[in-house]
Amino acid sequence: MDFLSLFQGLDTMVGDEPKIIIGRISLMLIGAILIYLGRKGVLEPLIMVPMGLGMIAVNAGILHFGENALYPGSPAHNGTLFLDALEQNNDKLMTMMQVDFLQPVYTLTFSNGLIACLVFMGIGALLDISYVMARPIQSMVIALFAELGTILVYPIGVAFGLSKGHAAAVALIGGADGPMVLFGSLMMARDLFVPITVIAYLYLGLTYGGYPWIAKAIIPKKLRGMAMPPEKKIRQASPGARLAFVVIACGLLCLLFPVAAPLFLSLFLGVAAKEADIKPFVDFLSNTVLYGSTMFLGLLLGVLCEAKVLLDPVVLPLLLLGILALILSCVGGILGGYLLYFTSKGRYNPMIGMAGVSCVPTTAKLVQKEASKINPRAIVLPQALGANVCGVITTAIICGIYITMICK
Amino acid sequence: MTELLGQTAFIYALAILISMLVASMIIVLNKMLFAIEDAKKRRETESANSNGKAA
Repeated sequence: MDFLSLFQGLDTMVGDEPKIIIGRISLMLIGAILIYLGRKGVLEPLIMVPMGLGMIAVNAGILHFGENALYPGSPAHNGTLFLDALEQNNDKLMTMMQVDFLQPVYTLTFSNGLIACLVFMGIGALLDISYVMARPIQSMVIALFAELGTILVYPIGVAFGLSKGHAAAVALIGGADGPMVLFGSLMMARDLFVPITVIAYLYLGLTYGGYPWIAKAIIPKKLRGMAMPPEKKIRQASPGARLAFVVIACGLLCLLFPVAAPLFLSLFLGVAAKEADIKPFVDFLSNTVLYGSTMFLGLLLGVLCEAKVLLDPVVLPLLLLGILALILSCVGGILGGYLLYFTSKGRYNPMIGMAGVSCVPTTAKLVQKEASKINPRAIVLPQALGANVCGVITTAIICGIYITMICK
Repeated sequence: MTELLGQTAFIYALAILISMLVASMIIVLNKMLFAIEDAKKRRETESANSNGKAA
């Protein structure tokens, strides 16, 4: 008896092609690094810890399946007991759901976009739309500038040889909105939605660590630490007015873009629960639903990072275009910040533009953190959150436009 | 390529238009609801004053 056959993870690794062996070991190491950086707070721990652990487990735990091992007629192959992302046949899927422990979660929540909608409900329940209601144009202008990557990477992707659907799905990474990328790629690039979503979430983690460097490179220290002058007394919209806005905005956007209606409904359902002051719903959505779906999302993304999936040659342009989209969006947001800085005669901190990239609420918190580092008295969070919320709306609008124009 | 750039510009223009539509809707809604709130307050003050006079 072959000694290695006792330890199938090792056996499958030794028996694989050299590039797959290197890929598996590298991805296990990257998984460990993601967990470490998540623990240190450099990357988003809510996603990175389950994702890193999933990456390690899926690349270590590959085993041999003999002929007919899974269902009558199943071929001999190497695989895992986590999930089969590419299976489409309904009969086989039913069998896989009884074999792979994450297959039910993947099939019933991930590959139909439900998990993205659940995350959106949770985010909606946490959103504060008061500043958007008070300064809608200002917040929207910043958000539109911060869509530079989402817009420019689409023609660049097509020029790189991607199809229009693939290019639009990758361009959506520039919106820095994970659930939106997942939803958009399901609609426009179903064959590539796994690598696109994995790349998007990996980069969202990097946004957390990389954006401050871009801000440092293009905004002088004095401006980064600039406190926002006290605003003229803003009349706050009442909760009733905010709820009315939610009802009208949800109806209007669903009417304009039915393809993105599930996302709009999910987001505005969370906001509506908050504004209608339904505390049991708000607690349920902002804790159980948000954290439960984020954990499973991270775990699924991790187990989707199999060496064979990520070593596909098509992934390299996606990696490059994804990072380009995020960099362009950050630069665009800062340009929008500068526009408001000049038009307000120096009464606006241009770094707030970075919060227009709609990684809610990460980029808004990031802007506040960076401003506080330089000037502990600088409070920019309300303006940053306003831009952040509008970023979600503009990304959803662009996602809707892309899906409508490309899937037609 | 020109067609692609034209399509990209159209997408951005459409996004700007709809975003500004949403922003304008917020402004109109705010004004409407503030006007309703003010009218309600005015009515309450007037009825309180008339009750005071009657007393």
